[in-house]
Amino acid sequence: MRRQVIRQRQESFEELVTQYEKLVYTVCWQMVRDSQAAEDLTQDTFLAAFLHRSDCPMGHERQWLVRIASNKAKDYLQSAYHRHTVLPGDEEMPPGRAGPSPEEETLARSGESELRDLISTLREPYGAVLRLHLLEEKPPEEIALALGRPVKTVHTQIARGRLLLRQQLERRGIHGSIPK
Amino acid sequence: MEVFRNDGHLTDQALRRLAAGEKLPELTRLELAEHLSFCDQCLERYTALLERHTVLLEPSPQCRQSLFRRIRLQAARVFVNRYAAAAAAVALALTMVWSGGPEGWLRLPDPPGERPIVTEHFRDWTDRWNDSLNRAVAGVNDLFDGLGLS
Repeated sequence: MRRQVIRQRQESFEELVTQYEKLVYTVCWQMVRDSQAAEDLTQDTFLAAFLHRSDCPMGHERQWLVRIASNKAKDYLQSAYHRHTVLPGDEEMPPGRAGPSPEEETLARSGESELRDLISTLREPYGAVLRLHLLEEKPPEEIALALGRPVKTVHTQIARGRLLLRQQLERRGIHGSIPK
Repeated sequence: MEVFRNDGHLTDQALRRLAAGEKLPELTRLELAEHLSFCDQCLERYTALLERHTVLLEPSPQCRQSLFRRIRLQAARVFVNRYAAAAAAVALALTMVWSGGPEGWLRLPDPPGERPIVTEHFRDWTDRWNDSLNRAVAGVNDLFDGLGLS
């Protein structure tokens, strides 16, 4: 009896793999543009699906698998992006130094209106996040709630938005760092 | 190309180009993956596009073989962890029972003098333990038989 149940579960999972293998691989490939990485992510996706198969909403297997695949691809791309992107000014503050840096003071002197102008020129999804974070001084958790995004995504968007802002500051000839 | 609309959702153009397999910049793909990992609406739009307009790619046969091998390993690991935790709990319980002397924090009640039931009880308990062990071993065998994926 127990053996039969295990076998049925295995068979139904095999069917799921057979049915959606190409879809999951295609999603992974479209995201990462590398065949080997896409195969690894396809395996990761199905392995995660196998471990959490009780969470799969009946009748929505396709969307569920595409979501897992997107998540896996996001993690892969994020680590690759971090490997070759250095956020200038994001280094740890040297120990024993308190208060705003000279760059921050420079930015403070430029005033909030300039910062507001700069943020308004940022494309989505960074404009809304930085407006809430830098101008309204809301914490990432509150922003996540307000915008309906995961907190981790908001953290990433704040970091990336700050990089974009800094690039704009540099283009305008204002050298400084964005207040944290 | 605009990736996001003003309402924070993905643009049709971005989704169409992704689903068509166009080579988008790495940051754009990262932004798309990030958004699709939490937004139900855009995920629905993307999967609909994939279904209607995309020729799906096929992974190599080794991909599936490797996947099932990883699943077998993972399932065995989960199984072993579960039984290891149960065995550790039993060992801990037995240690506490057996080490609980007159000064110990846990004492078994003294059996009535006229009824020598301790040995019977102990024999009964060891029999049950053997049964449980046999069932556990049979369970392991069932699991590995069941994981013999074709």
